[in-house]
Amino acid sequence: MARNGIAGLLRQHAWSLGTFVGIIVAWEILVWALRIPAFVLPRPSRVALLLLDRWELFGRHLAYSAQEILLGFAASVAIGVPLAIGIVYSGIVERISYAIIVPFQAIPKTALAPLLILWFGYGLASKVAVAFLIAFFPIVVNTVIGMRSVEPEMLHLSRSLGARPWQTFLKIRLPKALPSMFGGFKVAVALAVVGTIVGEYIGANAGLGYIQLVASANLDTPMVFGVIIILSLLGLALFGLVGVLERMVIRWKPGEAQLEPGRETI
Amino acid sequence: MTSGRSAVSVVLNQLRKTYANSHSPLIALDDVALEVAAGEFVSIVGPSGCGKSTLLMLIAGLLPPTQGTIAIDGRAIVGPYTDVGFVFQRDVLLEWRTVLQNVLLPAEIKHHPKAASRERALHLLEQVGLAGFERRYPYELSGGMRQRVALCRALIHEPPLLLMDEPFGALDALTREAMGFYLLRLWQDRQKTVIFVTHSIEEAVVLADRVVVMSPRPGRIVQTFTPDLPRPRTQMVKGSAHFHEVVDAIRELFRARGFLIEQPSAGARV
Repeated sequence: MARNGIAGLLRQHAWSLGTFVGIIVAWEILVWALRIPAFVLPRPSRVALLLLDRWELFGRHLAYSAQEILLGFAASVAIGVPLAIGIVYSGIVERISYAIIVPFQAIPKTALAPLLILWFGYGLASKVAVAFLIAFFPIVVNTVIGMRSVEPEMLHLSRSLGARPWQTFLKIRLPKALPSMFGGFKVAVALAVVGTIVGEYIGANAGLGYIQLVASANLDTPMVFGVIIILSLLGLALFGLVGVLERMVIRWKPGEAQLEPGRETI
Repeated sequence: MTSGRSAVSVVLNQLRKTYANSHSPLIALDDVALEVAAGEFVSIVGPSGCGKSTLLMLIAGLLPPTQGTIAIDGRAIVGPYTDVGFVFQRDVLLEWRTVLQNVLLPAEIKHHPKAASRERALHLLEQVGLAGFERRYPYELSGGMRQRVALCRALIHEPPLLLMDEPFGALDALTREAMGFYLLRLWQDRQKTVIFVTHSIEEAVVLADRVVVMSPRPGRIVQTFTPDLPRPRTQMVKGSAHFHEVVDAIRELFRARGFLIEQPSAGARV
């Protein structure tokens, strides 16, 4: 992949990078030329300066939100994966969980945020709860799908070898499920960001959602944009983090660079 | 490497298997009686829906028969018989394991000594022409190579009995023929008992000591053929007049009974 280091990477992404820079420049010029007031649409340079200027404020609230997101996500993994294993292995657990989860899934989780804030207060706990609820479902579903994707022949084979259930689980089901599970984790971490921010809009005294709401009420649009940028970077970073973990765990997946088309052997 | 536990005999006595479906029970197998001698290579041919796969599941003790008994080496089978090598139409290799690790899976599950198993695995891979591929992953291999790995996996724990469910059915004709001879070579060295299910009459005759023809729904044994072909068998077998006599006789039986011979998906009729 990174054959020529940074230079190669730049060349590879030249088009998207160029387009991005072009849009920023056009935006800057347009706002300046049309004399659009900052509270409607601030110049990108102004937002950038604000971010540099008030990095301490942004940093503090970023840390707070990131903590909520990660705790919510971690809880949804810690509870979702064992539940999925229960669903795969036990008909009773499956029926009971589906009876609860399926109707529950019809509720937009963000609509539960006001209740959760009522119950858990304005602090960390309520946002963790929203992030957890919204991230939970894709993790359960993807883990169940992954574990059920084992071929019946493989299970016959394993039974015919006298494998203990834990052997079949550790050697076959779990590794088989990992790609699907990581797919679920990626969706879940992105949803956890959404859940946390919505939670902060509804009731909080810290966090990126909170300072954005305050800025919006004060018509401090540059600040609103600053939060959007920080949130985008946070989302990218979390997604990337899960991706890095995925590549560390799933080493056998045929990366495109490894496939050598045309080198066919009988 | 001529060691390994001795082969086992398999005796099926008046086997019947029905599946309780919603309305009428489906009779998969009816009145199946078969004696397979230790070290014998038996092929089972029949049209689709003759319960061939069900039969293998019953022999392995993975499904209970509705009626009748199965005995391996004189002992009745009531639960999974764990001294068996299984090969299926799909190779079902574990994609996160290398070729060598895939072959070693049964030895790991059975906690066999590591060093000895490893040695045996390397030897098996060499015998099927996969020396040098030990560290490759399944996605790097062709269908024929993958199925040869599955074959080695079925033999690593030295089972006295091999159950093969259309193992080469998904391969192209040339690869399929080559696989048959790889199998014969391995069998020649080890003299396992083999029960080999196939759709292909010619494949059955080339490989087996005895060819059992089954009828569709309910699966019954119609007739047994004993091709008198010399061992070890090579490509030359197909040139002999006797080979063609037996194949024609089985084909005639199929025609007389109105069995449809299924065209394998890969278009691979040997």
